[in-house]
Amino acid sequence: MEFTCKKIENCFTNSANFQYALEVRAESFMDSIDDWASIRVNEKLRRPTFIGAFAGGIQVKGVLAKNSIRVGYPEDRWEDCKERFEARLAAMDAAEISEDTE
Amino acid sequence: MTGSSNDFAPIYLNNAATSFPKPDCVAEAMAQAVSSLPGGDNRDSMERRNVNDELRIALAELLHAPDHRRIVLGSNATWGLNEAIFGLGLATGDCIVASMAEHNSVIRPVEALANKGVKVEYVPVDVAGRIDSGAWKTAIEQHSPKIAICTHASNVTGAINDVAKLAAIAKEHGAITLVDAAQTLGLVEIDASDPNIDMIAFTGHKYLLGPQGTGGLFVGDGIELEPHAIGGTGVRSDLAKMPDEYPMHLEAGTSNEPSNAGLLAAIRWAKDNPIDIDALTEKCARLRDGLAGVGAKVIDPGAPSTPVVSFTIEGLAPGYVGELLFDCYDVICRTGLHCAPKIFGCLGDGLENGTVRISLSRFTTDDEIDALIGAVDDIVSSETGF
Repeated sequence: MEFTCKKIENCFTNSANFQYALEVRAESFMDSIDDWASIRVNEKLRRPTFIGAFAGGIQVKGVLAKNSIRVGYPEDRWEDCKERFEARLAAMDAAEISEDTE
Repeated sequence: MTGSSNDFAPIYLNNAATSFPKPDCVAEAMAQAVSSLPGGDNRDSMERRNVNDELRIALAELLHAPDHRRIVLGSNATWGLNEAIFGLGLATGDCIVASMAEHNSVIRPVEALANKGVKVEYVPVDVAGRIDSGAWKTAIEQHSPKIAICTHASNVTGAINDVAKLAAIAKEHGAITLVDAAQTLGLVEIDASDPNIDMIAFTGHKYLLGPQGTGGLFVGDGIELEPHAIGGTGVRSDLAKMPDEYPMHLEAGTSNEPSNAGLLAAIRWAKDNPIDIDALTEKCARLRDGLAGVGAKVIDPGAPSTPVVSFTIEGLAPGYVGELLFDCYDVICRTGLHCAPKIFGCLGDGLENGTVRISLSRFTTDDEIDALIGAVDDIVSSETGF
């Protein structure tokens, strides 16, 4: 899957948060990772959201209906975690993910 | 807009950063300035309009400044504060007293001087974010600063300081006084004719309702600053230094005339349409009560205060709350430390990640406030307790 990535700045020097624009909706992405992350969906918000917690401290958040996710990496090894997460993202098949969930 | 069920009008509640919307006349004045002949900077004839001078006169009226030529125009309050702080030529052994409520536009310049041997003392504020006059007096007496700097209002809690009183204390002990009025000009009276207030930095893009990139510094008579930026002034080109006369002493290069025209239009509009402070205060009370009612922990600055409401939700990082407000409810606000990192240690426990800051304007509606309270209610009830 192709994606674009942008660092999300905040008030804190050591933050390692990034936003990814995906080819698929966050909902489809979420469904495709449910076997390797612990996922909590909140459907009570006006636009439902999900949070996925991966082993190793990576946290993924998103609004189900949007084509983007926010990813937070552990501060002390964010570069390594980011590289591995993006490799996994790149290996995903966007068409297959969309078919699975539509 | 596509008209789908996911489309909602954004609710802009970040007016302490940049006010929005602006009166229509602001954009009109800017467009007119851009499409008109440029001003002649300091060489204007009586036949040519001098927007910058008109703006200085309007600002002088607002600030009660005795001489509009002592109002120096720049790009924002940060510019003005830098001119003031670095312009005094402070050296090793000199002392600066500032409050812990200051913005980084004060903290970073004074810390830069601290790295060069200038002593900096920060005065704590109370749990409302207001400068304690007793602590202020003690610091002034102990350290005899060359300059005492205080914000007119905290950009985190909205607490308004009695700057006349604080300036009088500092002046009594020989300090030059500098007030950061970024959060207040257009909302709260300040008196530049007060002999205890030497300098006032201000910005145009917050409660003056002007465009971004406008602001400046009032420099009282008798205060001389070394220019921070040096360059052309349009006159006295034969001199190798900046002219001594104000405002050109501190105004190098071509000014932002279109934006200054926008700010001038905004100030004139506000004069014809005075802000209803009581109505704004009621809106803030409605917001604070509503947020507290749904379980948010709200900082109450007491009176007087600007229309800023800071809150936290137990168990949720302010940044995450801000994401949910924006992503799920189209609410635009500010989260985190608000560029004022030192104040949080004074406001109580559990604020290491800052707050969610809501800042209203005269244009904020009750419906927008109720929508925000409803959104926070949803977040509290569905995101906490895990």
